[in-house]
Amino acid sequence: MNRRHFLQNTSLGFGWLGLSALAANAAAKSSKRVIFLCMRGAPSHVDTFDYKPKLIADTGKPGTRAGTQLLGSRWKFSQHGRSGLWMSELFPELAHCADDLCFLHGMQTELPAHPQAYLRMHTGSSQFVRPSLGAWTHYGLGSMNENLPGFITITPPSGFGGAQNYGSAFLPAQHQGTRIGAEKRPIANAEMANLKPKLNAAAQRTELDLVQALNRAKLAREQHDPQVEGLIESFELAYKMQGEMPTMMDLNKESEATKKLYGIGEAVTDDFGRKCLLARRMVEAGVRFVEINHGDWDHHRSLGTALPASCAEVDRPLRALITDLKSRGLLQDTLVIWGGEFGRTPHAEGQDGRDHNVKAFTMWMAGGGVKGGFSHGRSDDYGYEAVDGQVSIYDWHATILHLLGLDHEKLTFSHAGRDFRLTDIHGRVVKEILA
Amino acid sequence: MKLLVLFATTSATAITPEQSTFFEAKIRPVLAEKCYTCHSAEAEKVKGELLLDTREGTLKGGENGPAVVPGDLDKSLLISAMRWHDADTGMPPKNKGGKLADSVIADFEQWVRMGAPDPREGVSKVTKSYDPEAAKSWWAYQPITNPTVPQPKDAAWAKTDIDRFALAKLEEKGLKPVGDADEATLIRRLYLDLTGLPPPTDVSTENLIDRLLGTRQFAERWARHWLDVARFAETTGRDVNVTTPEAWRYRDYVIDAFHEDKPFDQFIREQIAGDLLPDRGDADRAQKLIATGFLAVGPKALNGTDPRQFAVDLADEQIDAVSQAFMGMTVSCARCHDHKFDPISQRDYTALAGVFLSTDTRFGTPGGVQGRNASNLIEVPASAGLKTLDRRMDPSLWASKKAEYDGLVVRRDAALASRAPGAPQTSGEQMSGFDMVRLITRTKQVEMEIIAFNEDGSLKPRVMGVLDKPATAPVARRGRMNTSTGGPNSRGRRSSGFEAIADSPLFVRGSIDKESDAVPRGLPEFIAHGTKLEIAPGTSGRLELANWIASPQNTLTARVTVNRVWQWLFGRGLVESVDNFGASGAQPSHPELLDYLARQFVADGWSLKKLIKRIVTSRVYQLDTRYDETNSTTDPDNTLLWRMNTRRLDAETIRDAMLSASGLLDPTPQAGSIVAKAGDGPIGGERFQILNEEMISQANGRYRSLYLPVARNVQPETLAVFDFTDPSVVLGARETTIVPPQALYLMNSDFVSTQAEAMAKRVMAESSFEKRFSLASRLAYGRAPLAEEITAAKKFSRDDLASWTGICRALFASADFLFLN
Repeated sequence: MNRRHFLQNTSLGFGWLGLSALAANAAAKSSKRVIFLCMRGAPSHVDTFDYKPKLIADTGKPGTRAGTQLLGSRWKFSQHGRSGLWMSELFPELAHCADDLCFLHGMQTELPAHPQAYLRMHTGSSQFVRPSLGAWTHYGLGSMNENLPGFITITPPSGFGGAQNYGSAFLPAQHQGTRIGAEKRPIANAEMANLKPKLNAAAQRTELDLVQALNRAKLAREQHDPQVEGLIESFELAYKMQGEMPTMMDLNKESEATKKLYGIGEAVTDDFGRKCLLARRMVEAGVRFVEINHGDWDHHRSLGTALPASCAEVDRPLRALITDLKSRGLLQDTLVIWGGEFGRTPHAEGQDGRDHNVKAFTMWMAGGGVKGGFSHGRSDDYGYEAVDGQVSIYDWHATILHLLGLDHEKLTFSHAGRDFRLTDIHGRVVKEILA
Repeated sequence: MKLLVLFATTSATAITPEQSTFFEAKIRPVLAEKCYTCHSAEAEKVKGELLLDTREGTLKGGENGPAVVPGDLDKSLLISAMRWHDADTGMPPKNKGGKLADSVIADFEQWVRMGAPDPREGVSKVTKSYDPEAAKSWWAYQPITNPTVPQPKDAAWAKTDIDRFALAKLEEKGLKPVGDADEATLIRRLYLDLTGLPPPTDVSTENLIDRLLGTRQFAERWARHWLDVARFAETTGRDVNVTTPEAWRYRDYVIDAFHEDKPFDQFIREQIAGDLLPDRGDADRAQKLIATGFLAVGPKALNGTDPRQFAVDLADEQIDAVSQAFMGMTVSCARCHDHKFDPISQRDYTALAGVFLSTDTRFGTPGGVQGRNASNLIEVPASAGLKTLDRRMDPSLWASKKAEYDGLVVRRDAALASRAPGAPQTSGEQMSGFDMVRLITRTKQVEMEIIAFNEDGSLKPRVMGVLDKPATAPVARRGRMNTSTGGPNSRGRRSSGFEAIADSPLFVRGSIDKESDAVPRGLPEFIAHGTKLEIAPGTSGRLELANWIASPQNTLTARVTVNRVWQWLFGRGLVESVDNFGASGAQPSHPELLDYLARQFVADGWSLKKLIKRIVTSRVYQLDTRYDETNSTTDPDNTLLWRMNTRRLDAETIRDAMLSASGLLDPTPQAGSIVAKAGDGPIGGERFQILNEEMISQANGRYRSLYLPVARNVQPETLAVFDFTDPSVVLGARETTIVPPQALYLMNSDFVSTQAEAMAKRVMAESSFEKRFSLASRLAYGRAPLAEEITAAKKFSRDDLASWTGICRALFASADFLFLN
């Protein structure tokens, strides 16, 4: 293992590799960290953030797919904030943050199947195994707190590409996401693997001292061995992580008022509220990229009851997260992203459901570097297809990297004989939304 | 030079003043404003290697050919790009303003019809990042030489020819090798390198290397190396990650091949074309079919909605695996365009694609909504004597499932018929699309449940592998929709269109929607050095391909193989990029030694054991890992082999060595794995409860790591934490990281604690602290303890079980256990 390799592959080599990709324009406002709120299953855009009065008016008329009927949203839309963004009544709490939100109404993806689209959103490809967005980010920017993982994913699904969605593929392994919890299991009981010591603190420290004594003796014998130095360092970091992670994960450090703000303790919002509060604590402690998974938004049936239920779980915690980040001065350099793998059809599936739609859907961003109270892009009058300001997943990735001060064309990794990028040979930064 | 010649031939045409005016008024401004940003010498980044800022560049064109063919609108790519048929090829691109005004396009058409008069002088400065012509002189494409063994000045030092090659280089640089490793270090090195297990405490050195090479533990250890290269896994990975419960047979085939030292060229031929080789009866044929599992165990996106895309992707994955595993070539780079670094054209790629598209890959996964691209396994006759797992289905359950299945088929077919165009409204069940999908899924699911078993409930002997497709396609079925494939994006395609042996069309830019002419099946022209594939009529060409790859004339295969073996023994290849011998890879540090080893390997009948023995008996292999300041200043990375590299043990060895030290290891080979025992189903989600992600990540047991399940996307934690391979890619050299999660695992995991406690009990059978610690040191380090270690342990110990558990855990966490000196 040569020195370059060594630095890449041990805990000592914190993210200096991506430096060449840092965008030339250092003056540009850029975020330092990301919270990605991933709504697995694909939320309906026409019932939430993409207001379609003509669709509502034409309910019952034939849809574009043979034999279907248009289904307008049954939820009322109104304008919010000084910016007057249209949002449906399913998000009464988040509506208070309208002036912080930046809607991307022209989102498009490729394949209308969950596993492919979910992988595409996370890695840029469903065809090949590629590093995830979080891994690229960590590779590009490195860690802000060496005692903590740099990329954490909270309750990801085991299907839909599983660990590939937070994997590092050919990037060095330390860039892969650390998983906490699993989908459909309450976050309150989740733990990080092997974090809990088998011994009390004093006994463990004594044992660790023995390990380090053996390793230092080895180092003295060898005179010079960077791998042994790395090993010694990794144990000290692990020991600190073991102390710092539980503190970071301990929501009891928060005031009752804060917990209430996030809806913790109330049946509907408790789980997602905890996740959001955890995410805030994580970015505050120096975690670079946090992803929260929330499912299941795949409302083929019972849209009338299932969609409001999903929205109610996230609405209040979302507002809490944005307000809390803002009041702590973190929102200005934290990029908050919300969205799912695609959108849903304006026509009904069965009596009360919506099918998959990849040609138009809405995602939003808030925080560092994006315009607040802003809408970019437009779908057609029914919400079938984006007709203006289209944003592909590549564009979306390019924009996220740009907002972090990274140039998506320069953030490369050499593997199997060529340079790879998150955006492959595509991607355009959506400059229109930059603050 | 070449460019100048071209320039001379194109500049001769004189143009009239009218033509010049037309160009200056209508053409140049548009080119300058709309095209130069990406297609001129001034462009920040030239796209598609196309420069439009000179006449010469415009005529020469870019990577897709001439931009303008004077007088010929159809052949002028500039015109077809401007006409803007689609977002992929339309110019200017959408984000640069999109299609130009029709009047502008008409001007350009008129200009081309005029003969594209162009007053612009100058030579296009195409700064091609790479020149494929030059790449042909790349060392790996030259025939394997027969180097003379050098005679180093210090004639006494070398034990073998390998040493002479190495020492000669060292002497050139004025370096001296460090001393030899001591006996205990060497014995531990040999045991761990050759068998993946630590030496016993009563080790004997007599005939040690031959003894180790003869063990099944050797075969298990080295099979695992090959399984990394073969991207072996027991699930499909990618999107829906479905189990392949018969994959373990390929794993066992590899172990057997290494155990019996099957000639490596034969090993290659069997993996690519075992089904087409002559056999010595049913049992032999079954093994050769299992060998072709190499082509079937790769990752695949089963949920793909387009069967044609799936077929093309599957062939691509096979090309990638075959070319990288056996020849260290990244041929699949040429899927969409000519290779940027190596002399492999898209035509070459397509010639190979035809071979694999003519191959029927049987990976055997259930169909249904998340596994649209199902495939059966290959059934083998009982006379082959294949062992099957004792997974059984109760015969009465089988009978009831069969009855359910028959009923479902009737319902499904009726429902499908009622949806067929022109069907009477009244026939069949009326159901929503969603229920329809559920019915189809259920039918397929039940079918897969029963198909694996005989009527008496016993498991059928079936294998993953490949066969040739039929020489001619069966007549297409009519009037019935095959809904197990197809979907919203399949554009209504019901099958891949690759039903029979045939050449593959060239897919422009790799897109299945843009087919060009078929390319005859064959070999990449340049790396085959003119060898043509003489394909027997009515066959795919896989056999001929296998024979060419496994030939001594192939400049890559033997080199790639000996280099990987070297890397597995030294932690670094003579060519550092072990899986990439192409022009973007590395140069060999010792080209003569590499060729010497490759030649000897072939001369030894492609015997892996002889090759390994040749290397481990060299003095270079047996050197100490000691640091040396003078040598290190000149050669910090030890590329010249002045010492042995210190290597961290790989994931399997760490686990197996702990199990050995604790005495808990069960060395018995395991039939199948927990994936094999679970049967068919997707990992993750709720549909498959027998086996979930948690059960794989927590998989353990007392047997060797090789027998743990290998799933894609989720891996046993005990292996994943120490850089286990990514089984979706060909990997001859794993990454080695040293990161905090490993330390947390060593300090806090149940597995390590269990091993430490068992080892503690074992050492406590000794009578004194010194004897106890001495045994612990021999179990963990394979040597007697050093004074400073005894002092440290003594300070820590209260001589009770808890302390000894702590000591043993500390030994596992320390460098002399985790590293190989």
